[in-house]
Amino acid sequence: MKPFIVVVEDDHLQEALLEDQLQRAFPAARIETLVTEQEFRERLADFRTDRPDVIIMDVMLRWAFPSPTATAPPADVASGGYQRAGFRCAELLFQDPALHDVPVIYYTILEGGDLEPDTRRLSSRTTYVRKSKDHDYLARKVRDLVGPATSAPSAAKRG
Amino acid sequence: MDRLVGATVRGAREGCCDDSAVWLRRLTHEVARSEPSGGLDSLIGVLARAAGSCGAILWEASETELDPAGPAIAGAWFADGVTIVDPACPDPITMEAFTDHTLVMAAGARDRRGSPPAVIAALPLEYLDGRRGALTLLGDDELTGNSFDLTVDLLDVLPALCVLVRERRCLALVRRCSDILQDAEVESARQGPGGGDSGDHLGDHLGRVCTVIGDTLRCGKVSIFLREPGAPDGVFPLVASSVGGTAPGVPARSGIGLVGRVIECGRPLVAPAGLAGEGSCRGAEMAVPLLDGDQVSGAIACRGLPGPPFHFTRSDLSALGLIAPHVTRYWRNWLHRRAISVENRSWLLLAAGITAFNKLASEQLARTDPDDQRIYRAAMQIVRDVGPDCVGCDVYRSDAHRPDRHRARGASSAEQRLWPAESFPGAGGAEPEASMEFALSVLRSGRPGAMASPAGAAGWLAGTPIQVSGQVYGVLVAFGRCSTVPSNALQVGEIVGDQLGLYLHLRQTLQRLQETRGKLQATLRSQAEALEDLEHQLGGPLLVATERVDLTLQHGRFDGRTDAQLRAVRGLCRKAARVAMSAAVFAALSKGAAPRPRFELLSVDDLLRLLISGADDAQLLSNPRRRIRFEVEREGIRILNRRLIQADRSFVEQCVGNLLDNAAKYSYEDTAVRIHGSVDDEGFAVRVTSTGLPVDPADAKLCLRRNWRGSVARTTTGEGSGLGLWIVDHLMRSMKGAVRVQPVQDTTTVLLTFPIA
Repeated sequence: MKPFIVVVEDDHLQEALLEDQLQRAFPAARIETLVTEQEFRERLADFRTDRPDVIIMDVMLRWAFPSPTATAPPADVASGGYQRAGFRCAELLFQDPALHDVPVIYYTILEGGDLEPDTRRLSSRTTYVRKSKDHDYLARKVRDLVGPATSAPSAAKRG
Repeated sequence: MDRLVGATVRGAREGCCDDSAVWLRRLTHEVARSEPSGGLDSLIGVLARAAGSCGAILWEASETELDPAGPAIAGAWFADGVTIVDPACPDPITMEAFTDHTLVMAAGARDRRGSPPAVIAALPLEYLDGRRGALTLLGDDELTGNSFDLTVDLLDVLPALCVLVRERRCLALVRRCSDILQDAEVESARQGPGGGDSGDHLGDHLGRVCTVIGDTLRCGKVSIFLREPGAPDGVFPLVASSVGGTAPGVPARSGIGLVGRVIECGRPLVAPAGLAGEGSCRGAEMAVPLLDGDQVSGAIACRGLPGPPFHFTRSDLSALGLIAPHVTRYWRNWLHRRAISVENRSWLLLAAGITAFNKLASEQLARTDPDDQRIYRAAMQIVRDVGPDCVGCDVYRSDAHRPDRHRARGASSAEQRLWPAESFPGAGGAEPEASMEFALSVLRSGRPGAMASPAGAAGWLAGTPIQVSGQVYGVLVAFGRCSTVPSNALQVGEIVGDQLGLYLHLRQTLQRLQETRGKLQATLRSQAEALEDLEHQLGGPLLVATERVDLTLQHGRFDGRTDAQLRAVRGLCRKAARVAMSAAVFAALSKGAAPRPRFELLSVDDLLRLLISGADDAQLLSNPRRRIRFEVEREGIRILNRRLIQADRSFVEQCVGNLLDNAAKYSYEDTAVRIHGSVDDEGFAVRVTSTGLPVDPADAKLCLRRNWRGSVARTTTGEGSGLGLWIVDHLMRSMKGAVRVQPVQDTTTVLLTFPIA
């Protein structure tokens, strides 16, 4: 079975590079990229039937791109802000009985020490990887969770 | 002189009815018109004239404890030029008439014609209350039958008329005294608290009461003695007297003299002449106690005149007894008014003291090194000035706030300790050990407390914790000499203690704030230095990287993909360099320093290159899926023509870059960001116009504030720190230029205006 990797990343410059690297490391994997918190919330229900094997989650994440038709964000987003949006997304995941055990890798430029107070209350199935040009470490972490890559590249892209 | 004894009074009454009616009318008329003070004498005068006598004396059983009671003069009347020799001692004729209750006529009176007037008859009399009495007639001839009959007739109505006269006198006395005291109350009320309640006023009003009593009861001297609550036991100072004079009178002492005995036993007493003063020959005296509940608060004392009636009767004592409650009530009201007045003055003094204290406290708190001792002394001065009978104060500070040099060696941290911080007025106050011991007990209880006669010493101690919100800083102890603790000593101490606590709390808080501020400033300095260092370490490599990519692009030949990658790398380097510069500007501004531009003259071509380069970078770094276009309208820039602007090139790059970053962040998909220009009186303006999240026109100026972000931007994209435009504003001002935000619905134009050189 093809591994299903979801990437939540709002920086388009990083997003493309990351996706390429992951696809090379896991040629058979199906990779889906979500670029806003709003997109992640909209896809959450689908994940119950199309369950990801791992989610690579940015921490500082915008709610949505500007649009004249945009709706106001929910109260927890308006009050919680953008700085720790990735944790908010992960919490929604862990509160879902069907998805609570999906492993999450926080992939961020932030220092681990800065995240310590926020990650302490999250699931034990979370991992922290600091963003760097060396994507091998991230690939090893993903491999630990989804198993070795076997299939040809098959990326699905959104946004 | 021989006497006719036992003549029947009723035996010789025929033929005098007509005369009797006339004299009765005169008698009743006299009762009705006479002045109360002399009513009885006038009455006797009518009787004497009816009898053809030149004098008459009315007797009644005396008000002494002798049994049987002897006769004493109740009233007397003498015709002009007639005096009585020894009216205090009844003559034998009168004595016989009084004792045997029979008419006694002087024998041989007819033979005395031309001689000085003498007693010619004494008629027995019974007053309405059952006491015996007698009427002595004086003359130089015996009574005729008609006169005798007339006298007997009039004597029948005399007891009733006596009662009437006395009641009128009592009523008049009570009314006049009551009026005086009522007027005094009204005057005090009109003058307000404290206005008319000095000791002088009290003496004046009660002195007038004494005068009225003296006039009505014909006393030689009337005195009022009153004892203040808390005054030494058994001593009742003289407060007022009917006899003028400013010298303080002799106080009455319980148990000594008639007044002292009245005070001691709490009931009225009267003494006849010669018995008043311990074997002396003083005149008659009477006194009534002033009773307030079951307490004797004073006494009214009267001394008789050397003339008739020479002694005080039961009627006089009753009249005086009626005045006593009025005086007592006035005294009670006066004391109450004075207490209120003293209390009012005390609170006013406290308010003024607290105001002055707060002023001093604010002055001291503004200083680098506040003078706590001065504050302690000011607090203690208030307590001493305001607190009744307060002679001094001590301030103790808790050991937790004690300077290390004063800390007691070996003191357990669990044990609450105090150390003396200040005493006022210094040495000679309370016993130090007793005061400290008492302060410790207050500290342990955490509540105000007071005690009288501490450790067997005279005086009182009142202590209150110096505290704010449960934080105890010490104890304030006040002390005085009275045997009882003054009523408001604790309240005053508590208010001043709280104020002192507030000062110490503020002082401690300010000290901590200053320490925190110092630490914060040090932290900010260190952060600014770190940012400067980051800028230094980032700026150099990024500059070199950008230049090398530039050179590679200029001199090398690459396929389109490589060229695009290199341009993207150059754009990223420039963006990173802008972020580094923003960090440096932020660091400088955090330290209060302004950015220092390096001015150069920029032509329209310089400006165009700079703007195109910025637009290219923005285009390369923007998300292609969002289809936002960055367009430089060259013609709009060329209106600058040959004119030059004076600016710092790197500052301009920074400002334009920040504006384009914002435009990329907040623009809608598939819109254009226009970069154009305009010239007006203020100079040349680079205008960046984008279509995206709307800015409220009311917020246009707020956009330039540090960390400010519009509500729509904050809730929609979330990203951004609110520093970009704040930095642009500072950079533009450093170049004598300006930045303005002009929103119109969802189109926003930001203008960078430069002065034209």
